[in-house]
Amino acid sequence: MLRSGGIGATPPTADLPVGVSYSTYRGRIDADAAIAYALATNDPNPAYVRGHAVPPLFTSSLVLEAVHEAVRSCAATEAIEGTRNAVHGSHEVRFFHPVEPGMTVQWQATTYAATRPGPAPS
Amino acid sequence: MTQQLLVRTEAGVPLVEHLWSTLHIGGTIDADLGPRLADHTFPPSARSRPIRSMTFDVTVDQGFRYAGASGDRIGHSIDDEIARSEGYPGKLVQGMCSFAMCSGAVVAIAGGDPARLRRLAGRFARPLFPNQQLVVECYDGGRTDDGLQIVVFEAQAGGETVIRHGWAELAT
Repeated sequence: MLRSGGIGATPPTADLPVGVSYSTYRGRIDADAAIAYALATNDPNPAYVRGHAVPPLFTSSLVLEAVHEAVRSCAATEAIEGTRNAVHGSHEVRFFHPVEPGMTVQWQATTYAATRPGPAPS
Repeated sequence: MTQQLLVRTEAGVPLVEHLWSTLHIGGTIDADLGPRLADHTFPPSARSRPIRSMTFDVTVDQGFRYAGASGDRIGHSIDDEIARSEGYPGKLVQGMCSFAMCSGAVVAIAGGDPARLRRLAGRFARPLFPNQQLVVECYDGGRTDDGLQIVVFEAQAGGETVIRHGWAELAT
């Protein structure tokens, strides 16, 4: 995929940046990159391997740099005290329309919510 | 902390929304902020309604292949020393790689048509390691209020549950 970014970055503040949006990135959905993603996740679905569709989580790789930008911004605030490490805890995706090979798309991270740790569901 | 990643067309039409939640280990905040995340708790009653089980052979080079295809070159997935310094016995597979295998199991239930997938959620519970087998067990979770088929799932490897509270919604 081809990417560009760095447009309109918002600097972090002393407070948790809930509601703050970061850089806008743009890129093209490369059919070969989508095939490589499918094969790297042991998914030989012909729809992907023939280049007709992209795997559902392919866009997670597209947005990786934007995620890191947002996480770094949150970790840099004084509002989160004592952080030793940050790990991916859960993930949710909503699919509104298919992402197709050859599309040019844009993406942006926004800090959505902050939740205090509670008892983890079993 | 949860980051929203919205992927849109050039004209601004939303295509995909990721809600990417990160645990800041050891961190504390004064109060919850922002919207509550939608529930995707695995319903225990669904265990009596299995739909499909899929087994994925996690190869010795899985983390490297995923790193190359996704750009996710997190150190503990491609370097044993980094993994050990974080308390793991060796390299672990990127969480999104294991989650993508779960999506493969769900899309198989949708007849191989990824366009039927409307929602996919899960919680990363344990690491997945190269040379393990990931077993994704899918169950009938019923229907949403607007008629979507709910598939709930768990993924296990080496006797541990790797992904809990898996939840998918499929258009019919």
